[in-house]
Amino acid sequence: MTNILVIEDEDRTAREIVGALTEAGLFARHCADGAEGLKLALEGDFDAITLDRLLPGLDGLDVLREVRARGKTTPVLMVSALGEIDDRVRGLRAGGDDYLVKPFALVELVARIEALIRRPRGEPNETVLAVGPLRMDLLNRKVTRGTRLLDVTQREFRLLEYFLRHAGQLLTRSMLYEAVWDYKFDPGTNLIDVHIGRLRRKVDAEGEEPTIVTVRGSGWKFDASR
Amino acid sequence: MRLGELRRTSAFRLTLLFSLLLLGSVLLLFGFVYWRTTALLERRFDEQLATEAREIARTPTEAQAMALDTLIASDPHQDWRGGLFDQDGNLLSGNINSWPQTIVMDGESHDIDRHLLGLVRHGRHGDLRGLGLTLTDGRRLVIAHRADEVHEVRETLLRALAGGLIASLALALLGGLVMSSASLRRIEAMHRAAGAIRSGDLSRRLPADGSGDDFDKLAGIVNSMLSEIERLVGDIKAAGDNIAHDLRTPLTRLRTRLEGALRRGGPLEAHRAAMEDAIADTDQILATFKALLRISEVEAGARRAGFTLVDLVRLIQSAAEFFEPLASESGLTFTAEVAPAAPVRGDPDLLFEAVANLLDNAVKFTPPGGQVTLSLDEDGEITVADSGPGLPDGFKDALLQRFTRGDRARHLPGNGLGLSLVAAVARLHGFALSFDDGAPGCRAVITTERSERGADNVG
Repeated sequence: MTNILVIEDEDRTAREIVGALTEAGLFARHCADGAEGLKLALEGDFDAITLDRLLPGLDGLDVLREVRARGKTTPVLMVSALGEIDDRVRGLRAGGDDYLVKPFALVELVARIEALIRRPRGEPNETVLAVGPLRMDLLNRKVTRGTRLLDVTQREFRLLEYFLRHAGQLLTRSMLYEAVWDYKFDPGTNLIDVHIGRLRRKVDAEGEEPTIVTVRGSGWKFDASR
Repeated sequence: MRLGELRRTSAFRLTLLFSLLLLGSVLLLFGFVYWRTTALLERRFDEQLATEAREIARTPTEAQAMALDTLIASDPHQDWRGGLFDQDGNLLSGNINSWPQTIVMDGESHDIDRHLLGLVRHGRHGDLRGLGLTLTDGRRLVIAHRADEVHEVRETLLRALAGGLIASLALALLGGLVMSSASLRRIEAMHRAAGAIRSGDLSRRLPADGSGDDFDKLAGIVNSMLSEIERLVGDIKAAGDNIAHDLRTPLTRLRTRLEGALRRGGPLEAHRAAMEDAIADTDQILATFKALLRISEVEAGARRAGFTLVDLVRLIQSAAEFFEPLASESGLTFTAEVAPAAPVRGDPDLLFEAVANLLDNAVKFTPPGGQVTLSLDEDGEITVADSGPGLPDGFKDALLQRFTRGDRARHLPGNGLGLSLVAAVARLHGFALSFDDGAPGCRAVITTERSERGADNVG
């Protein structure tokens, strides 16, 4: 069973987060206080932590710094109503693995937690990434499906690589955007959809089993199980 | 106007300070004059005494008594007192009746008590100055003269000093009062105006009398500040009205949808579509809020601290790559022309977002079959041009205001905040943003170079 620690002082938000995580098949433990959360994070055996930025007693950033200072490497998703770039940078610099701004969709939170608890496929220094029918040559930037060589742009190559490394996981628009484009901004719904659509047409030719599947209202999943 | 208030004005305090300085300098000046004048007067007086005494002493012995009598008689006011005494102190001649026991016989002038010379009261002061001298044959000569003259001159001088002092102090204080009450009156006028402004009348201004003095300058500064505040408050109100309007529509729609679903009843599964639509409505409302917060974040200017050198070439290429699929999906021809421009100082994320917003608009408003061009020239000028319907007359000014959306945009998704954000980003960077008629279509130009030149001029 995968254990998630939810450190969140707002009761309602906490209930929703716990509910969404439970629904996704994860076990969530809630804690409303910074100091207690720190104790749990240090002593408990959790696979990931969602940490609110503003907490009574001990600030979220301090909790995170302390956790990291004690050598704990549990992945941490910072959750905050403060959306300014500085806060994101500060959160990540303090040792956070990801950052989510309130208000957010619960699927987004779950998808990001899933991405944090599952190690991406393939070693970072690997030269070939093969999932299902797809095979990516990372050195020569070539991708083939069976014997077919796919004609993808640099950007599409990076998108596909991200899909393969997180095969089977729900990837939201913002996760895909953040992973592949270097400028931080909220691109809205349309743009990413168009890029994915284009990539999908190249990867899943007519008659082939679809690998990039749409998860309605949430994002996409690379599914090579069929 | 109360005296207590007057006393606290800076003009009055200055007046007091200057009055004190004036008092000090007048006292010093008069003191010096007084000291020198009386000293001169006394020396002259003493010299005359000594001359007369020498004169008598030089006279042959037998004629000395007569010389003394002549001196005494020569003065009709009886100001001279004199006596020639023998060695035993008997009066030989003169108008001093008995030998003054305590007189100092050194031939020098001294102040002499009038009682010593047997006078009860003579003149207003009655003090005398005189000298005693032992003649060659042992007889003794005493002569003295009333010192009234010296005293009178002294007194006149002191009176003049006091009069002058009082007059000049009075004048200074009066001037101070006039000056401070004048400044107090102006401050009260400003106070009244400020009170009216505080209670909500933002169109009021602090009064200036056109003299260009300190008060006028201050009023000018405050007034220009007030104009800016009035403009901002107006903007906020307009924005607030627009927010209310733009949020009311999706909120009403959301409510109607939920109400309808509730009324229809039935199994939960039947409501799936309604719930999905409701989530989409909520997302749109949240996106509007997010955009608003973002604009105020940019306008607050805090992000200027994070400026770095931005590679415009890479940024424009990325933007082109990012939008090209959307443009071709919409049936448009998308072209990017990128010249090797020098890097500029700025926030790469915000600049990318600004360019993306312009491209988003261009793609949105250009009908299928049209063209969208993104270009960067060597001077760092970024242009987004389209072959769309262009800008209606009179729409250009309204374009940059929050929530302004053209009639053509009513059926398109968007919150009317995109260009406001572009404008805010341009302002943050000190870049110029302009919209031209592209004939056909619209041309949006961000001139980045200007800031570089501006920065060079500054330092």
